[in-house]
Amino acid sequence: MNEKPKILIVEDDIDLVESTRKILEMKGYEICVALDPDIAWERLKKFSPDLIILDVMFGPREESLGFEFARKIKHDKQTAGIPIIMLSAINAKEKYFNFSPATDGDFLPVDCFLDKPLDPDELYSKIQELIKLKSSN
Amino acid sequence: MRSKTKYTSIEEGGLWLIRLRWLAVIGILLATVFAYGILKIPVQIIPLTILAFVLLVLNLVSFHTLKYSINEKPALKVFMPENNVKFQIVTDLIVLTCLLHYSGGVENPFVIYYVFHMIIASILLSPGSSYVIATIALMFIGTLTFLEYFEIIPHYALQGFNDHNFYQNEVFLIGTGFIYVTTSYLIVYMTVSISTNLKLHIKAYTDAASALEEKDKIKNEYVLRLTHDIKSHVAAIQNSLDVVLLSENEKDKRHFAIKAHRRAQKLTSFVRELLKLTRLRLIHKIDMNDFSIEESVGKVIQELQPVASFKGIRINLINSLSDKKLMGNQISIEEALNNLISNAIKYSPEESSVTVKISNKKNSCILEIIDNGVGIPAHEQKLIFNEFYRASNVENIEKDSSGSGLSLVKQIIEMHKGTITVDSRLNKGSRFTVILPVHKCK
Repeated sequence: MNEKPKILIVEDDIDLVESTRKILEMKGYEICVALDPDIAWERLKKFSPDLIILDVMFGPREESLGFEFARKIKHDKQTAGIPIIMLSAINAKEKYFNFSPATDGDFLPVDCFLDKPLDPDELYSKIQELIKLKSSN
Repeated sequence: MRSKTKYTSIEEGGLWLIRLRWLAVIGILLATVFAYGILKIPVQIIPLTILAFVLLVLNLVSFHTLKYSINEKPALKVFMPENNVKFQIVTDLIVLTCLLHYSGGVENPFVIYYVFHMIIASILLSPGSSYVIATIALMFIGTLTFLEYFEIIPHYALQGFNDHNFYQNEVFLIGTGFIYVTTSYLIVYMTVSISTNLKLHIKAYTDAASALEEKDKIKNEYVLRLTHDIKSHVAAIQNSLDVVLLSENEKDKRHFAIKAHRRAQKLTSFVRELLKLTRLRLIHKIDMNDFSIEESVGKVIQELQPVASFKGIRINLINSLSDKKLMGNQISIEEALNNLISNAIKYSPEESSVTVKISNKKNSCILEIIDNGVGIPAHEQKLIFNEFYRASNVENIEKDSSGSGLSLVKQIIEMHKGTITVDSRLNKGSRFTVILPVHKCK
Protein backbone atom coordinates (compact mmCIF):
# COMPACT_ATOMS: atom_id res chain seq x y z
CA MET A 1 0.00 0.00 0.00
CA ASN A 2 1.70 3.14 -1.15
CA GLU A 3 -1.00 5.56 -0.25
CA LYS A 4 -1.38 6.53 3.41
CA PRO A 5 -4.40 4.89 5.03
CA LYS A 6 -7.08 7.49 5.80
CA ILE A 7 -8.88 7.87 9.12
CA LEU A 8 -11.82 10.10 9.94
CA ILE A 9 -12.07 11.17 13.59
CA VAL A 10 -15.52 12.25 14.76
CA GLU A 11 -15.28 13.57 18.28
CA ASP A 12 -16.52 16.71 20.00
CA ASP A 13 -13.68 17.10 22.47
CA ILE A 14 -11.20 19.27 20.63
CA ASP A 15 -8.25 18.41 22.89
CA LEU A 16 -8.78 14.73 22.36
CA VAL A 17 -9.19 15.23 18.63
CA GLU A 18 -5.97 17.18 18.31
CA SER A 19 -3.89 14.75 20.33
CA THR A 20 -5.33 11.66 18.65
CA ARG A 21 -4.73 13.26 15.30
CA LYS A 22 -1.13 13.96 16.21
CA ILE A 23 -0.53 10.43 17.47
CA LEU A 24 -2.00 8.86 14.34
CA GLU A 25 -0.21 11.24 12.01
CA MET A 26 3.04 10.19 13.65
CA LYS A 27 2.07 6.60 12.84
CA GLY A 28 1.70 7.56 9.20
CA TYR A 29 -2.04 7.95 8.75
CA GLU A 30 -3.83 10.69 6.91
CA ILE A 31 -6.37 12.24 9.24
CA CYS A 32 -9.59 14.15 8.71
CA VAL A 33 -11.52 15.57 11.64
CA ALA A 34 -15.16 16.45 12.30
CA LEU A 35 -16.39 17.90 15.57
CA ASP A 36 -20.02 16.90 15.11
CA PRO A 37 -21.94 14.27 13.16
CA ASP A 38 -23.58 16.78 10.80
CA ILE A 39 -20.26 17.92 9.38
CA ALA A 40 -18.93 14.39 9.66
CA TRP A 41 -21.31 13.03 7.02
CA GLU A 42 -20.10 15.50 4.38
CA ARG A 43 -16.48 14.88 5.29
CA LEU A 44 -17.04 11.15 5.18
CA LYS A 45 -18.33 11.31 1.60
CA LYS A 46 -15.56 13.60 0.43
CA PHE A 47 -12.66 12.02 2.28
CA SER A 48 -13.71 8.36 1.88
CA PRO A 49 -11.70 7.09 4.85
CA ASP A 50 -10.46 3.55 5.44
CA LEU A 51 -11.62 3.70 9.04
CA ILE A 52 -13.69 5.91 11.31
CA ILE A 53 -12.97 6.70 14.94
CA LEU A 54 -16.26 7.80 16.42
CA ASP A 55 -17.05 9.13 19.86
CA VAL A 56 -20.28 8.14 21.62
CA MET A 57 -21.20 11.86 21.85
CA PHE A 58 -24.24 12.54 23.96
CA GLY A 59 -26.93 14.83 22.67
CA PRO A 60 -29.13 17.15 24.75
CA ARG A 61 -31.48 14.30 25.69
CA GLU A 62 -28.69 11.93 26.65
CA GLU A 63 -29.09 10.10 23.38
CA SER A 64 -25.95 8.96 21.63
CA LEU A 65 -25.37 10.98 18.49
CA GLY A 66 -22.35 8.82 17.72
CA PHE A 67 -24.39 5.67 17.70
CA GLU A 68 -27.03 7.19 15.42
CA PHE A 69 -24.27 8.27 13.08
CA ALA A 70 -22.85 4.76 13.08
CA ARG A 71 -26.26 3.37 12.10
CA LYS A 72 -26.45 5.86 9.25
CA ILE A 73 -23.02 4.81 8.00
CA LYS A 74 -23.88 1.11 8.12
CA HIS A 75 -27.18 1.66 6.31
CA ASP A 76 -25.60 3.46 3.38
CA LYS A 77 -24.29 1.07 0.73
CA GLN A 78 -21.36 3.32 -0.11
CA THR A 79 -20.12 3.59 3.46
CA ALA A 80 -21.32 0.36 5.05
CA GLY A 81 -17.94 -1.35 4.59
CA ILE A 82 -15.93 1.21 6.52
CA PRO A 83 -14.89 -0.14 9.92
CA ILE A 84 -15.85 1.97 12.93
CA ILE A 85 -14.06 2.18 16.26
CA MET A 86 -16.33 3.67 18.89
CA LEU A 87 -14.85 5.58 21.80
CA SER A 88 -16.61 6.01 25.09
CA ALA A 89 -15.65 7.22 28.52
CA ILE A 90 -18.08 4.87 30.21
CA ASN A 91 -18.97 1.39 29.22
CA ALA A 92 -22.02 2.59 27.39
CA LYS A 93 -22.67 -0.38 25.18
CA GLU A 94 -25.68 -1.80 26.96
CA LYS A 95 -26.95 1.24 28.72
CA TYR A 96 -27.16 3.85 26.04
CA PHE A 97 -27.79 1.79 22.97
CA ASN A 98 -30.23 -0.65 24.51
CA PHE A 99 -27.97 -3.13 22.92
CA SER A 100 -28.56 -6.72 23.81
CA PRO A 101 -26.67 -9.53 22.12
CA ALA A 102 -29.80 -11.70 22.36
CA THR A 103 -32.04 -9.50 20.25
CA ASP A 104 -29.60 -7.46 18.22
CA GLY A 105 -27.28 -10.28 17.32
CA ASP A 106 -24.70 -9.05 14.91
CA PHE A 107 -26.41 -5.82 14.29
CA LEU A 108 -24.10 -3.63 16.44
CA PRO A 109 -23.19 -0.96 13.92
CA VAL A 110 -19.67 -0.48 15.17
CA ASP A 111 -16.80 -2.89 14.82
CA CYS A 112 -15.05 -2.25 18.08
CA PHE A 113 -15.41 -0.35 21.33
CA LEU A 114 -12.46 1.36 22.95
CA ASP A 115 -12.57 2.85 26.38
CA LYS A 116 -11.15 6.29 27.05
CA PRO A 117 -8.41 7.19 27.91
CA LEU A 118 -6.98 5.55 24.81
CA ASP A 119 -3.84 3.54 24.90
CA PRO A 120 -1.95 4.57 21.73
CA ASP A 121 -0.61 1.05 21.17
CA GLU A 122 -4.00 -0.55 21.58
CA LEU A 123 -5.58 2.02 19.28
CA TYR A 124 -2.87 1.49 16.70
CA SER A 125 -3.15 -2.30 16.72
CA LYS A 126 -6.96 -2.15 16.48
CA ILE A 127 -6.72 0.25 13.54
CA GLN A 128 -4.24 -1.99 11.76
CA GLU A 129 -6.35 -5.07 12.41
CA LEU A 130 -9.56 -3.47 11.15
CA ILE A 131 -8.00 -1.92 8.07
CA LYS A 132 -6.40 -5.24 7.17
CA LEU A 133 -9.73 -6.98 7.61
CA LYS A 134 -11.44 -4.40 5.44
CA SER A 135 -8.93 -4.70 2.58
CA SER A 136 -9.09 -8.51 2.68
CA ASN A 137 -12.87 -8.38 2.20
CA MET B 1 -39.75 -4.89 45.51
CA ARG B 2 -41.75 -7.17 43.33
CA SER B 3 -42.91 -10.59 44.38
CA LYS B 4 -41.25 -13.51 42.68
CA THR B 5 -44.34 -14.49 40.71
CA LYS B 6 -45.69 -12.37 37.93
CA TYR B 7 -49.29 -12.69 39.21
CA THR B 8 -51.41 -9.86 40.51
CA SER B 9 -52.82 -10.27 44.01
CA ILE B 10 -56.28 -11.31 42.78
CA GLU B 11 -54.79 -13.88 40.42
CA GLU B 12 -52.62 -15.20 43.20
CA GLY B 13 -55.65 -15.34 45.51
CA GLY B 14 -57.64 -17.30 42.91
CA LEU B 15 -54.85 -19.83 42.51
CA TRP B 16 -54.46 -20.13 46.25
CA LEU B 17 -58.19 -20.83 46.59
CA ILE B 18 -57.92 -23.55 43.93
CA ARG B 19 -55.03 -25.19 45.76
CA LEU B 20 -57.06 -25.23 48.98
CA ARG B 21 -60.01 -26.80 47.18
CA TRP B 22 -58.02 -29.87 46.12
CA LEU B 23 -57.57 -30.45 49.84
CA ALA B 24 -61.27 -29.80 50.45
CA VAL B 25 -62.22 -32.58 48.00
CA ILE B 26 -59.98 -35.03 49.87
CA GLY B 27 -61.32 -33.66 53.17
CA ILE B 28 -64.95 -34.34 52.21
CA LEU B 29 -64.16 -37.93 51.23
CA LEU B 30 -62.14 -38.56 54.38
CA ALA B 31 -64.77 -36.97 56.65
CA THR B 32 -67.50 -39.08 55.01
CA VAL B 33 -65.52 -42.29 55.43
CA PHE B 34 -64.60 -41.33 59.02
CA ALA B 35 -68.19 -40.48 59.98
CA TYR B 36 -69.61 -43.58 58.34
CA GLY B 37 -66.92 -46.14 59.11
CA ILE B 38 -65.54 -45.06 62.48
CA LEU B 39 -68.20 -42.90 64.10
CA LYS B 40 -70.92 -45.16 62.66
CA ILE B 41 -73.08 -42.17 61.67
CA PRO B 42 -75.34 -43.15 58.75
CA VAL B 43 -74.37 -40.28 56.39
CA GLN B 44 -75.45 -40.28 52.74
CA ILE B 45 -72.32 -41.76 51.25
CA ILE B 46 -73.37 -41.69 47.57
CA PRO B 47 -74.63 -38.07 47.40
CA LEU B 48 -71.65 -36.86 49.42
CA THR B 49 -69.18 -38.69 47.14
CA ILE B 50 -70.93 -37.29 44.07
CA LEU B 51 -70.70 -33.80 45.57
CA ALA B 52 -66.98 -34.25 46.20
CA PHE B 53 -66.65 -35.21 42.55
CA VAL B 54 -68.70 -32.16 41.47
CA LEU B 55 -66.38 -29.96 43.53
CA LEU B 56 -63.40 -31.58 41.84
CA VAL B 57 -64.84 -30.87 38.37
CA LEU B 58 -65.72 -27.29 39.32
CA ASN B 59 -62.19 -26.80 40.59
CA LEU B 60 -60.78 -28.06 37.30
CA VAL B 61 -63.00 -25.59 35.45
CA SER B 62 -61.92 -22.75 37.74
CA PHE B 63 -58.28 -23.68 37.38
CA HIS B 64 -58.29 -23.77 33.59
CA THR B 65 -60.35 -20.62 33.11
CA LEU B 66 -58.12 -18.73 35.54
CA LYS B 67 -54.96 -19.94 33.79
CA TYR B 68 -56.53 -18.97 30.48
CA SER B 69 -57.38 -15.47 31.68
CA ILE B 70 -53.91 -14.99 33.19
CA ASN B 71 -52.04 -16.14 30.08
CA GLU B 72 -54.27 -14.88 27.31
CA LYS B 73 -55.70 -11.77 28.96
CA PRO B 74 -58.96 -12.03 26.98
CA ALA B 75 -60.98 -8.88 26.46
CA LEU B 76 -64.17 -10.57 27.67
CA LYS B 77 -65.10 -9.31 31.14
CA VAL B 78 -66.39 -12.73 32.17
CA PHE B 79 -62.83 -14.01 32.18
CA MET B 80 -61.48 -11.39 34.55
CA PRO B 81 -59.65 -13.04 37.49
CA GLU B 82 -61.97 -11.23 39.87
CA ASN B 83 -65.01 -12.90 38.29
CA ASN B 84 -63.24 -16.23 38.48
CA VAL B 85 -62.82 -15.79 42.23
CA LYS B 86 -66.51 -14.84 42.55
CA PHE B 87 -67.47 -17.93 40.57
CA GLN B 88 -65.31 -20.09 42.82
CA ILE B 89 -66.84 -18.69 46.00
CA VAL B 90 -70.47 -18.91 44.83
CA THR B 91 -70.09 -22.48 43.51
CA ASP B 92 -68.37 -23.39 46.79
CA LEU B 93 -71.35 -22.03 48.71
CA ILE B 94 -73.76 -24.06 46.56
CA VAL B 95 -71.75 -27.26 47.03
CA LEU B 96 -71.39 -26.59 50.77
CA THR B 97 -75.18 -26.10 51.08
CA CYS B 98 -75.78 -29.40 49.25
CA LEU B 99 -73.19 -31.18 51.41
CA LEU B 100 -74.88 -29.85 54.55
CA HIS B 101 -78.26 -30.93 53.23
CA TYR B 102 -77.06 -34.55 52.95
CA SER B 103 -75.37 -34.47 56.34
CA GLY B 104 -77.81 -33.06 58.86
CA GLY B 105 -78.51 -29.57 57.53
CA VAL B 106 -78.33 -26.82 60.11
CA GLU B 107 -77.52 -29.40 62.78
CA ASN B 108 -74.16 -30.17 61.18
CA PRO B 109 -71.35 -28.16 62.86
CA PHE B 110 -69.71 -27.81 59.44
CA VAL B 111 -72.23 -25.01 58.86
CA ILE B 112 -69.54 -22.78 60.29
CA TYR B 113 -67.52 -23.28 57.07
CA TYR B 114 -69.60 -20.55 55.40
CA VAL B 115 -67.52 -18.12 57.42
CA PHE B 116 -64.37 -19.12 55.53
CA HIS B 117 -65.85 -17.90 52.29
CA MET B 118 -66.85 -14.62 53.84
CA ILE B 119 -63.29 -14.08 55.06
CA ILE B 120 -61.80 -15.08 51.70
CA ALA B 121 -64.19 -12.75 49.86
CA SER B 122 -63.34 -9.89 52.22
CA ILE B 123 -59.63 -10.35 51.57
CA LEU B 124 -59.76 -10.82 47.83
CA LEU B 125 -62.79 -8.84 46.66
CA SER B 126 -64.11 -5.34 47.11
CA PRO B 127 -66.01 -4.47 50.33
CA GLY B 128 -69.30 -4.35 48.38
CA SER B 129 -68.80 -7.81 46.90
CA SER B 130 -67.85 -9.15 50.33
CA TYR B 131 -71.20 -8.08 51.84
CA VAL B 132 -73.02 -9.53 48.82
CA ILE B 133 -71.21 -12.86 49.29
CA ALA B 134 -72.10 -12.85 53.01
CA THR B 135 -75.76 -12.22 52.14
CA ILE B 136 -75.76 -15.00 49.52
CA ALA B 137 -74.25 -17.43 52.04
CA LEU B 138 -76.87 -16.52 54.65
CA MET B 139 -79.64 -16.87 52.05
CA PHE B 140 -78.42 -20.36 51.12
CA ILE B 141 -78.25 -21.51 54.71
CA GLY B 142 -81.61 -19.82 55.43
CA THR B 143 -83.30 -21.45 52.44
CA LEU B 144 -81.96 -24.88 53.39
CA THR B 145 -83.22 -24.45 56.95
CA PHE B 146 -86.58 -23.18 55.72
CA LEU B 147 -87.07 -26.08 53.24
CA GLU B 148 -86.11 -28.68 55.83
CA TYR B 149 -88.25 -27.06 58.54
CA PHE B 150 -91.37 -27.19 56.37
CA GLU B 151 -90.35 -30.66 55.12
CA ILE B 152 -90.37 -29.51 51.51
CA ILE B 153 -87.11 -31.41 51.18
CA PRO B 154 -86.12 -34.35 53.39
CA HIS B 155 -83.94 -33.92 56.47
CA TYR B 156 -81.03 -36.37 56.68
CA ALA B 157 -80.38 -36.55 60.38
CA LEU B 158 -76.98 -37.33 61.84
CA GLN B 159 -78.17 -40.20 64.01
CA GLY B 160 -75.83 -40.98 66.83
CA PHE B 161 -74.26 -37.54 66.55
CA ASN B 162 -77.29 -35.35 67.03
CA ASP B 163 -80.63 -36.89 67.93
CA HIS B 164 -82.48 -33.80 69.05
CA ASN B 165 -84.07 -32.71 65.78
CA PHE B 166 -82.95 -29.13 66.19
CA TYR B 167 -83.91 -28.44 62.60
CA GLN B 168 -87.52 -28.06 63.71
CA ASN B 169 -86.79 -26.37 67.04
CA GLU B 170 -87.90 -22.72 66.54
CA VAL B 171 -86.00 -21.36 69.54
CA PHE B 172 -82.80 -23.05 68.35
CA LEU B 173 -83.34 -21.87 64.77
CA ILE B 174 -84.09 -18.25 65.69
CA GLY B 175 -81.26 -18.15 68.24
CA THR B 176 -78.57 -19.67 66.02
CA GLY B 177 -79.95 -17.76 63.00
CA PHE B 178 -79.46 -14.49 64.84
CA ILE B 179 -75.98 -15.49 65.91
CA TYR B 180 -75.04 -16.56 62.34
CA VAL B 181 -76.32 -13.34 60.77
CA THR B 182 -74.59 -11.02 63.24
CA THR B 183 -71.39 -13.07 63.28
CA SER B 184 -71.24 -13.16 59.48
CA TYR B 185 -71.65 -9.42 58.99
CA LEU B 186 -69.30 -8.62 61.87
CA ILE B 187 -66.65 -10.90 60.41
CA VAL B 188 -67.02 -9.33 56.99
CA TYR B 189 -66.90 -5.86 58.52
CA MET B 190 -63.74 -6.62 60.49
CA THR B 191 -61.95 -8.44 57.71
CA VAL B 192 -62.82 -5.74 55.19
CA SER B 193 -61.50 -3.06 57.56
CA ILE B 194 -58.27 -4.92 58.15
CA SER B 195 -57.73 -5.83 54.53
CA THR B 196 -58.56 -2.31 53.29
CA ASN B 197 -56.05 -0.94 55.71
CA LEU B 198 -53.54 -3.53 54.66
CA LYS B 199 -54.10 -2.77 50.98
CA LEU B 200 -53.53 0.93 51.69
CA HIS B 201 -50.32 0.13 53.49
CA ILE B 202 -49.16 -2.13 50.70
CA LYS B 203 -49.91 0.58 48.18
CA ALA B 204 -48.04 3.18 50.22
CA TYR B 205 -45.16 0.77 50.52
CA THR B 206 -45.01 -0.06 46.81
CA ASP B 207 -45.37 3.62 45.91
CA ALA B 208 -42.51 4.51 48.22
CA ALA B 209 -40.45 1.65 46.87
CA SER B 210 -40.95 2.70 43.26
CA ALA B 211 -40.26 6.35 44.14
CA LEU B 212 -37.02 5.22 45.76
CA GLU B 213 -36.18 3.11 42.76
CA GLU B 214 -36.74 6.10 40.50
CA LYS B 215 -34.56 8.29 42.72
CA ASP B 216 -31.89 5.68 42.75
CA LYS B 217 -32.01 5.49 38.98
CA ILE B 218 -31.66 9.27 38.67
CA LYS B 219 -28.75 9.20 41.08
CA ASN B 220 -27.05 6.41 39.19
CA GLU B 221 -27.45 8.25 35.92
CA TYR B 222 -26.06 11.35 37.54
CA VAL B 223 -23.04 9.46 38.80
CA LEU B 224 -22.60 7.90 35.39
CA ARG B 225 -22.70 11.30 33.73
CA LEU B 226 -20.17 12.71 36.19
CA THR B 227 -17.91 9.73 35.62
CA HIS B 228 -18.22 10.29 31.92
CA ASP B 229 -17.34 13.99 32.27
CA ILE B 230 -14.39 13.36 34.54
CA LYS B 231 -13.10 10.56 32.39
CA SER B 232 -13.34 12.74 29.30
CA HIS B 233 -11.05 15.28 30.93
CA VAL B 234 -8.64 12.57 32.02
CA ALA B 235 -8.69 11.06 28.53
CA ALA B 236 -7.84 14.39 26.93
CA ILE B 237 -5.02 14.97 29.43
CA GLN B 238 -3.58 11.52 28.97
CA ASN B 239 -3.84 11.66 25.20
CA SER B 240 -2.09 15.04 25.12
CA LEU B 241 0.66 13.69 27.37
CA ASP B 242 1.00 10.71 25.03
CA VAL B 243 1.92 13.14 22.29
CA VAL B 244 4.44 14.80 24.61
CA LEU B 245 6.03 11.40 25.24
CA LEU B 246 5.90 10.12 21.68
CA SER B 247 6.65 13.19 19.60
CA GLU B 248 10.15 14.32 18.79
CA ASN B 249 9.09 17.75 17.74
CA GLU B 250 9.83 20.24 20.55
CA LYS B 251 7.09 22.59 19.41
CA ASP B 252 4.50 19.82 19.50
CA LYS B 253 5.74 18.66 22.88
CA ARG B 254 5.29 22.12 24.32
CA HIS B 255 1.92 22.69 22.67
CA PHE B 256 0.46 19.47 24.04
CA ALA B 257 2.03 19.91 27.47
CA ILE B 258 0.24 23.25 27.73
CA LYS B 259 -2.97 21.62 26.54
CA ALA B 260 -2.70 18.89 29.16
CA HIS B 261 -2.02 21.45 31.84
CA ARG B 262 -4.99 23.58 30.86
CA ARG B 263 -7.24 20.58 30.76
CA ALA B 264 -6.05 19.51 34.20
CA GLN B 265 -6.98 22.96 35.49
CA LYS B 266 -10.38 22.57 33.95
CA LEU B 267 -10.81 19.21 35.63
CA THR B 268 -9.77 20.71 38.96
CA SER B 269 -12.32 23.48 38.70
CA PHE B 270 -14.96 20.96 37.68
CA VAL B 271 -14.27 18.83 40.73
CA ARG B 272 -14.13 21.91 42.95
CA GLU B 273 -17.54 23.08 41.78
CA LEU B 274 -18.91 19.60 42.17
CA LEU B 275 -17.69 19.51 45.75
CA LYS B 276 -19.24 22.88 46.43
CA LEU B 277 -22.59 21.68 45.14
CA THR B 278 -22.44 18.47 47.10
CA ARG B 279 -21.42 20.23 50.27
CA LEU B 280 -24.27 22.67 49.87
CA ARG B 281 -26.67 19.80 49.36
CA LEU B 282 -25.47 18.00 52.46
CA ILE B 283 -25.79 21.01 54.70
CA HIS B 284 -29.40 21.41 55.64
CA LYS B 285 -28.81 24.17 58.10
CA ILE B 286 -26.78 27.19 57.22
CA ASP B 287 -25.76 30.02 59.45
CA MET B 288 -28.05 32.95 58.91
CA ASN B 289 -26.95 36.39 59.91
CA ASP B 290 -27.88 39.98 59.26
CA PHE B 291 -25.77 41.44 56.54
CA SER B 292 -25.84 44.36 54.17
CA ILE B 293 -26.85 43.21 50.72
CA GLU B 294 -25.69 46.57 49.39
CA GLU B 295 -22.20 45.94 50.67
CA SER B 296 -22.17 42.42 49.28
CA VAL B 297 -23.19 43.58 45.81
CA GLY B 298 -20.53 46.30 45.96
CA LYS B 299 -17.91 43.80 47.02
CA VAL B 300 -18.73 41.36 44.23
CA ILE B 301 -18.76 44.11 41.60
CA GLN B 302 -15.38 45.27 42.82
CA GLU B 303 -14.01 41.75 42.60
CA LEU B 304 -15.20 41.38 39.04
CA GLN B 305 -14.20 44.84 37.89
CA PRO B 306 -10.84 43.72 36.42
CA VAL B 307 -12.49 41.03 34.29
CA ALA B 308 -15.12 43.50 33.07
CA SER B 309 -12.55 46.19 32.32
CA PHE B 310 -10.54 43.71 30.30
CA LYS B 311 -13.49 43.38 27.93
CA GLY B 312 -14.35 47.06 28.15
CA ILE B 313 -17.62 46.25 29.91
CA ARG B 314 -19.16 48.81 32.26
CA ILE B 315 -21.02 47.57 35.35
CA ASN B 316 -23.88 49.87 36.31
CA LEU B 317 -25.34 49.63 39.78
CA ILE B 318 -28.86 50.94 40.26
CA ASN B 319 -29.65 50.95 43.93
CA SER B 320 -33.09 51.86 45.21
CA LEU B 321 -32.83 49.82 48.34
CA SER B 322 -34.60 51.21 51.35
CA ASP B 323 -33.92 48.36 53.73
CA LYS B 324 -30.21 47.85 53.81
CA LYS B 325 -29.95 44.60 55.67
CA LEU B 326 -30.87 41.07 54.77
CA MET B 327 -31.04 37.93 56.82
CA GLY B 328 -29.09 35.12 55.23
CA ASN B 329 -25.79 33.44 54.68
CA GLN B 330 -23.56 36.19 53.39
CA ILE B 331 -20.85 34.00 51.85
CA SER B 332 -23.21 31.90 49.80
CA ILE B 333 -25.25 34.91 48.66
CA GLU B 334 -22.02 36.55 47.50
CA GLU B 335 -21.07 33.34 45.73
CA ALA B 336 -24.41 33.39 43.91
CA LEU B 337 -24.02 37.07 42.98
CA ASN B 338 -20.51 36.43 41.77
CA ASN B 339 -21.75 33.62 39.54
CA LEU B 340 -24.56 35.69 38.07
CA ILE B 341 -22.54 38.84 37.44
CA SER B 342 -19.51 37.02 36.07
CA ASN B 343 -21.82 35.08 33.72
CA ALA B 344 -23.27 38.39 32.55
CA ILE B 345 -19.76 39.65 31.83
CA LYS B 346 -18.66 36.41 30.22
CA TYR B 347 -21.52 36.26 27.75
CA SER B 348 -21.61 39.97 26.87
CA PRO B 349 -19.87 41.43 23.86
CA GLU B 350 -16.91 43.73 24.34
CA GLU B 351 -17.61 47.41 25.03
CA SER B 352 -21.11 46.74 26.34
CA SER B 353 -22.61 47.10 29.78
CA VAL B 354 -23.99 44.96 32.57
CA THR B 355 -26.60 46.37 34.93
CA VAL B 356 -27.19 45.28 38.51
CA LYS B 357 -30.38 46.55 40.13
CA ILE B 358 -31.26 46.17 43.79
CA SER B 359 -34.63 47.17 45.16
CA ASN B 360 -37.27 46.31 47.74
CA LYS B 361 -40.82 45.24 47.29
CA LYS B 362 -42.97 44.47 50.30
CA ASN B 363 -41.02 41.90 52.26
CA SER B 364 -38.51 40.99 49.65
CA CYS B 365 -35.27 42.12 48.17
CA ILE B 366 -35.14 42.09 44.39
CA LEU B 367 -31.84 41.67 42.58
CA GLU B 368 -31.70 41.99 38.82
CA ILE B 369 -28.68 41.26 36.68
CA ILE B 370 -29.13 42.47 33.12
CA ASP B 371 -26.77 42.00 30.21
CA ASN B 372 -26.76 42.58 26.47
CA GLY B 373 -25.10 39.30 25.72
CA VAL B 374 -25.79 36.25 23.59
CA GLY B 375 -29.02 35.35 25.38
CA ILE B 376 -30.37 31.86 25.96
CA PRO B 377 -32.50 29.98 23.41
CA ALA B 378 -36.13 29.91 24.64
CA HIS B 379 -36.42 26.12 24.88
CA GLU B 380 -33.26 25.92 26.96
CA GLN B 381 -34.20 28.56 29.53
CA LYS B 382 -35.75 25.98 31.85
CA LEU B 383 -32.75 23.70 31.61
CA ILE B 384 -30.00 26.14 32.45
CA PHE B 385 -30.51 25.66 36.19
CA ASN B 386 -29.90 21.95 35.88
CA GLU B 387 -26.60 20.70 37.09
CA PHE B 388 -23.84 20.85 34.48
CA TYR B 389 -26.13 22.05 31.75
CA ARG B 390 -24.78 24.64 29.36
CA ALA B 391 -26.86 26.37 26.74
CA SER B 392 -25.89 25.21 23.26
CA ASN B 393 -24.93 28.67 22.08
CA VAL B 394 -22.37 29.32 24.81
CA GLU B 395 -20.35 26.14 24.55
CA ASN B 396 -17.83 27.79 22.28
CA ILE B 397 -17.54 30.97 24.30
CA GLU B 398 -16.39 29.45 27.52
CA LYS B 399 -14.96 26.02 27.10
CA ASP B 400 -13.58 25.94 30.62
CA SER B 401 -16.91 26.32 32.31
CA SER B 402 -18.30 23.17 33.82
CA GLY B 403 -21.85 24.47 33.69
CA SER B 404 -22.56 24.03 37.37
CA GLY B 405 -22.73 27.75 38.19
CA LEU B 406 -26.42 28.39 37.74
CA SER B 407 -27.37 25.22 39.48
CA LEU B 408 -25.33 26.33 42.47
CA VAL B 409 -26.96 29.77 42.35
CA LYS B 410 -30.41 28.21 42.31
CA GLN B 411 -29.60 26.02 45.28
CA ILE B 412 -28.31 28.95 47.26
CA ILE B 413 -31.37 31.05 46.47
CA GLU B 414 -33.69 28.19 47.33
CA MET B 415 -31.91 27.66 50.62
CA HIS B 416 -32.87 31.23 51.39
CA LYS B 417 -36.45 30.43 50.33
CA GLY B 418 -36.08 32.77 47.39
CA THR B 419 -36.69 32.39 43.67
CA ILE B 420 -34.65 32.92 40.55
CA THR B 421 -36.07 33.46 37.08
CA VAL B 422 -34.64 34.28 33.71
CA ASP B 423 -35.96 36.35 30.89
CA SER B 424 -33.80 36.18 27.83
CA ARG B 425 -33.78 36.82 24.13
CA LEU B 426 -31.28 35.36 21.72
CA ASN B 427 -28.55 37.85 20.80
CA LYS B 428 -30.32 40.61 22.76
CA GLY B 429 -29.40 39.71 26.31
CA SER B 430 -30.64 38.15 29.51
CA ARG B 431 -32.18 39.34 32.74
CA PHE B 432 -31.84 37.19 35.83
CA THR B 433 -34.20 38.16 38.65
CA VAL B 434 -33.57 36.97 42.17
CA ILE B 435 -36.22 37.54 44.80
CA LEU B 436 -35.16 36.95 48.37
CA PRO B 437 -37.65 37.12 51.21
CA VAL B 438 -36.58 39.50 53.92
CA HIS B 439 -37.29 37.99 57.29
CA LYS B 440 -35.95 40.95 59.06
CA CYS B 441 -35.14 44.19 57.31
CA LYS B 442 -33.67 46.87 59.47
